Amino acid sequence: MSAAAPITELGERSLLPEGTTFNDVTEAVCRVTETKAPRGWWILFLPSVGLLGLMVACIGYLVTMGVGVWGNNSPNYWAWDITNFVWWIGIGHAGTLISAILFLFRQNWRTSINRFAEAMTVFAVLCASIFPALHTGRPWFDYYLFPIPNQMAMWPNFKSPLMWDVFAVNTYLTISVIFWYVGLIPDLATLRDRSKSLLRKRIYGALALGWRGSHRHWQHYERGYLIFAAISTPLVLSVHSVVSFDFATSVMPGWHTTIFPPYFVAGAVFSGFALVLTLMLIVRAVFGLHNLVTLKHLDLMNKFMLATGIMVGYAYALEFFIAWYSGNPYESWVFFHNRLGFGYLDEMGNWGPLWWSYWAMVSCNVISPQLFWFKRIRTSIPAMFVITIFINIGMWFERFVIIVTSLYRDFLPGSWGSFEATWVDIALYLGTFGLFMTLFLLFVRWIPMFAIAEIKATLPHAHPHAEHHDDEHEHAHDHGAEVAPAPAE
Amino acid sequence: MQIFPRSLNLLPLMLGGAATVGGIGLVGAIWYYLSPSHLQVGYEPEQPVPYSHRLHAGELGMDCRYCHSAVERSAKANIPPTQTCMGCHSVVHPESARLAPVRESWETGESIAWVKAHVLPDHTYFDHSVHLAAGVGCVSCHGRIDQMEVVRVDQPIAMQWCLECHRDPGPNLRPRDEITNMEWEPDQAWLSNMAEHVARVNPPEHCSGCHR
Amino acid sequence: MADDTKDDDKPRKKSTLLGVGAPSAEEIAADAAAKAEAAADDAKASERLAERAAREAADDEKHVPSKVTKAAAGEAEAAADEAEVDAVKARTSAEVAKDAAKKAAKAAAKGDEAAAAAESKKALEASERAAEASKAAKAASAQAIEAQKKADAARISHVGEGEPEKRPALYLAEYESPEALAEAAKKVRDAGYEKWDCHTPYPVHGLDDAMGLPPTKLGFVSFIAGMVGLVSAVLMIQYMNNWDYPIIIGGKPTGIGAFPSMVPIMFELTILLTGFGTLFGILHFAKLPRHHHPIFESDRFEAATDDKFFISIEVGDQKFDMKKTRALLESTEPSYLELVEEEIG
Repeated sequence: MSAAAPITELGERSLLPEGTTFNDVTEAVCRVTETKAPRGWWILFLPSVGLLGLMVACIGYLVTMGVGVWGNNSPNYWAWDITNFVWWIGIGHAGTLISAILFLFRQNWRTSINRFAEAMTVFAVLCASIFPALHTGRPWFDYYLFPIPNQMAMWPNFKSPLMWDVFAVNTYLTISVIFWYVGLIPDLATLRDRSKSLLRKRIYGALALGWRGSHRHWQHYERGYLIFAAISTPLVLSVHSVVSFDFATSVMPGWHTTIFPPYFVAGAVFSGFALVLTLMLIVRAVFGLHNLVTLKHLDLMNKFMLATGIMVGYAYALEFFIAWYSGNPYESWVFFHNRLGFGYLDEMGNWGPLWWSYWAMVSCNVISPQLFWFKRIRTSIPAMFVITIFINIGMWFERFVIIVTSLYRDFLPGSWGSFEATWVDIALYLGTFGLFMTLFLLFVRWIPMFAIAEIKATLPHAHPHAEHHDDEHEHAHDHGAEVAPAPAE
Repeated sequence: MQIFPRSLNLLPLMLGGAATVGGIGLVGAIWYYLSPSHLQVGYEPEQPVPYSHRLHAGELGMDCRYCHSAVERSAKANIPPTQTCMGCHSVVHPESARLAPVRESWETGESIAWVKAHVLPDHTYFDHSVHLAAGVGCVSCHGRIDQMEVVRVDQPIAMQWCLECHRDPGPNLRPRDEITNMEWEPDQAWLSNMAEHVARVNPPEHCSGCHR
Repeated sequence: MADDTKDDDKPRKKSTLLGVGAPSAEEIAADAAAKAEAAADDAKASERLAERAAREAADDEKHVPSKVTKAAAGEAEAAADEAEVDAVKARTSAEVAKDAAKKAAKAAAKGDEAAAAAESKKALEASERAAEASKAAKAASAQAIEAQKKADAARISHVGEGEPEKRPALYLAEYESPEALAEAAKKVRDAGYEKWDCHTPYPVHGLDDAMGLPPTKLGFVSFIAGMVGLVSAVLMIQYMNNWDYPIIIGGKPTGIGAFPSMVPIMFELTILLTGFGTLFGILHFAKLPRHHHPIFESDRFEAATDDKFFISIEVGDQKFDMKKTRALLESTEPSYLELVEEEIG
């Protein structure tokens, strides 16, 4: 497929190659789980498992020794741990956005990437939750965070934004898992029915809950799917808003700002799309799925990144404006000295020592996605691969900048400090990549990574000609232009 | 192809039921078995010297402060040094085999390794002197030490237990000169002035009262 | 069957009515012929019954091969053969009687009383033979049915031995396209079936109408669950932080005055319980998980999750009838039609 091919969303005919049959879709998706893993899969999987081992070792070391093995100190009570937490949570946002918001907007092109992105949401939120769980210091008491009776005979304090975070992240994880699994049921049934060995049939069969494609079930299922999309949309907007409350409700200069919720959400979607695309490009190449994820899909995703990248850039600019406009010297100090690196010099005449992290963030997040204005870049696989990796790096730096450059030098020079990451910080962060990639690679290997049923429903011949439908629709029926109608009802 | 027997149709429901019951059971088990009132109360560590509070504080009627001398002035109710023991035992039962560790400590200058029974979390700052000054008796937290052959934890040292008293200190207050009296009971005159006693102590309920 | 006997009764009644007067030889012959005809029909009916019994007995034997079923099937088979022979006999005699009656009528028309009387006698004799044959056929048929019952009993008592016993569960019709499926669904809907379903690899739009399904009530369930979440969040926070154990931080209120701080958790719990409500709502309405279903007996059905479209009509439907339902489904021109059987037990 060339990049010049038509796009359904623009009123053109077909998102998948002409003449794709239902069976083609089944074959293309199921084949991945039924044939031997390609060499590329093993090349990715073995190091991932190695990193996962590193993560387990780091957690063991950390639990044994205490959180002091991290670089966290006074005043940097939060550092890499919360940076990684926010970064991973942000990665997860693309999944829900693609599956829920694009569903509500009837963007049928989402069907090729939503399953994939939803899985990434689940895995990313799992990775994210490791950090605050360890950061409590005594992870075996983490159940104190939940409103269940505990050893202290105390209840949680629901006025704390950290408590809101517990609820938001856990709700997000639960709803994401349910949404993902509900979407999977018909496809697991497809795998069940295609399986040759009885064991395989039974495993997929047990997971498919005895699904038999009954239209009486589809009817409830579709409404349920719509409801999930409808509740996930405010949920995904709320999760990163609540994460931003962790910062915004405090009085730290650089945190205490009302722009945080929308700014965090835009950034989350931005980074989420970037990682989805990075992995999508790899998987697409490894498994040869060029017909399911076409350049048109990639093009649309790049446009999304361009848009959210501009939003994030706007937020960066506005923070500086407010720091100056508010006339608050501490706010200005954090932004101009700690972050920007000039304008305010400390008593030694130095820039803030972490100025480079701010500039890494700006160049990766704001400058590099501007290349997506060009269609040639948007449709060039190597270019977008590099840019998405830059965005991932930039979004990590964004969280690092927000957290560390606010904390390490704030109001009182007496409580100034500096931050240096330890090897445990770095190894644990790399280790969560191992967890993520291991789960992700197992997912692409064993679970249909595209929504088979949903893709089928978007094929041009998927639905009977609706002559029993309202007559006023008749003029729109010029055969074939009848692209996949709106799901549900 | 039929891959599951019909009898399996009920299994998911049963598993769901079992998970629900198991989940509630787990919470209940944590609530009960992991609570201080189950884990701490009744802790009776064996001490290097078979010291009997029943004998010393009960039968002989020694005041708590004879040994725990700093309790009114310091955060910790100190463990008495070996000197305190030897003050009497250089003449009372000087040859007793049970006192051998005490004599050894006296000769070598090494402390006796007493085992702490009442353990507080590190992040909690408890001050004995403040509580005694407010008129909280030893017995309120430690129980009838004068009847214990071996010291045993009597009350659950849980946050809620602390806060219960901080919110309603009245029942645990007594005249300051009755603090070490294990058998003191409030009389009518004391009870009728309760509001006054409570107003005097004003225990903190905010976080940094105990966690700094 | 009932209609046939009714029709046969008519001429007999007529002849008895006519017989009030002195019956002529012609009339007697006609009466005898009619009786013989009726006897032949009865014999044929008995033969059919016997044949069916034999078939079913053979079926029993096939499912539960054992000595008893084999013997019973053999017996039923023999009885059916006997009934067949008897039926042929009865038919032949009826033909003879008919012929004689015709001749008697001709003779009577010519005025040849003696010939008419002779033919009439012949007809009477033939009629008697037919009646006898019919009786024999009936007896043979009873024997066959007896044998079939034996076979049935043997089959039921032999469940678990050899092939498990099966019973029809549903008709399964396969279609190649969603259009064909929708058309067929409309026919089934209009025929008034209730326990039937369409099976598609993806949700086909317009099938709700084609199947005549009422709108789903799932939204209601989700809404209630969400409201339960909202209320439980308020009650939980109020109970834990205000009623049971007020936590006062920074002198802030703990009651409803703390409303703004309750909003995030109210929102999250609303979402969480809506999600659970929706999940369990789907499972409840769809009666899933149900890992065993008679429809899975069909190997053909495995294409329902790939690219084929199916209609199933369950035996349990009030309107279900082996022949009529089959005819209805055949009229929708399925690419494949199957009676799916499930194991009993």
